Amino acid sequence: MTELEAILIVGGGIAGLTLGRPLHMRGFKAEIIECSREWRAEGGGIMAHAKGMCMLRALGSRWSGLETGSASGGSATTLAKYCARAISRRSGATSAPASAKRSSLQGVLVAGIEGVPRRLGTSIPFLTQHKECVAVDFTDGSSRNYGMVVGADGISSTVRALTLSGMAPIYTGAMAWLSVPPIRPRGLTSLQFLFGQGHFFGFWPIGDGRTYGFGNITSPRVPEPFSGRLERLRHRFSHFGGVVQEYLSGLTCDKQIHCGPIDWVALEQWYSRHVVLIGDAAHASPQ
Amino acid sequence: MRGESGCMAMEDANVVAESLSGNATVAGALAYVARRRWLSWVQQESDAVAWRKRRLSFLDQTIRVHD
Repeated sequence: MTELEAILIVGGGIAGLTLGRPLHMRGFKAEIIECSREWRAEGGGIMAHAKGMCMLRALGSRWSGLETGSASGGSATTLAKYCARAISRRSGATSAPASAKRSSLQGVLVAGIEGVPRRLGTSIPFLTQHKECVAVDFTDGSSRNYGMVVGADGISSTVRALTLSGMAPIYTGAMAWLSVPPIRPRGLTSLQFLFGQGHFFGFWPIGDGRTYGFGNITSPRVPEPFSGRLERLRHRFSHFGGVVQEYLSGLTCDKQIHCGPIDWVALEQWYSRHVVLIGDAAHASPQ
Repeated sequence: MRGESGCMAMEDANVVAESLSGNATVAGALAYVARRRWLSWVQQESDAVAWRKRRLSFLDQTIRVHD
């Protein structure tokens, strides 16, 4: 087992944080680095199937209070209740999915890596694969050999660029507008989509009276500066009907809105010798 | 589907954690992951969705130009 003892996880998002705990619990010397100076959870919500619930269950009691909601109908529930159903069914895909606020999930995952060494504000400018190990240089000036490096550093993965492909993400032709405000349009109890020409808007009720709202606009890639996002979002969906207008009128500030291009990475392989990619680094998917 | 990438990331982590627990070498662990075919399958599906989305985007914009 010596070859695999030291494992570096690059990226402190959902993939990296989820992997850190089981490796630590099973005796590996796992270490997590994250280029941001704080744990960040960009985007809106997350849809979790039974296997995702299994991973959360492994976190123990910490995750049981994470509020979520059913995406397929019914009232808001908690991951604990949902997980009990999902695990009992064991079939995973046949279970109704649940959704949760991404930042809430990340908070739970960060709590779950207690005892796992981590460094924030650190990235890897160089990485060299040798026969028995990977030599990694860090931006803080240190360096170390690892038995394996896991690239969990997202769609613009540095690990991928250093080992497998320098190809930049490709724009799919659509911009996403995401928000998870404390708003629940009247009558919304399940996943809903509303379609228009070149646009759609969807809703997921999640826990704590919040709703995950996601707008999708087919358009050339355009910069969407932070300032004025709320006004632009309202304008771009002004031709949609009642429930969308009710939701948009409940938003109060630009800070509630995440906007960005939906990108995709064309990658033929997700591993190279001692390096493996997971999450968006391996298969950033247009959604 | 919107929001699925986070769950797929957790599933990736699950598969990699399993592979490392049952194998003594990196090669063995990666072979296990490859046998599970999870990452490859997700990658192929993502590519397929991306191509469809790009085609639809192109068609939509072309139609609007000629409208």
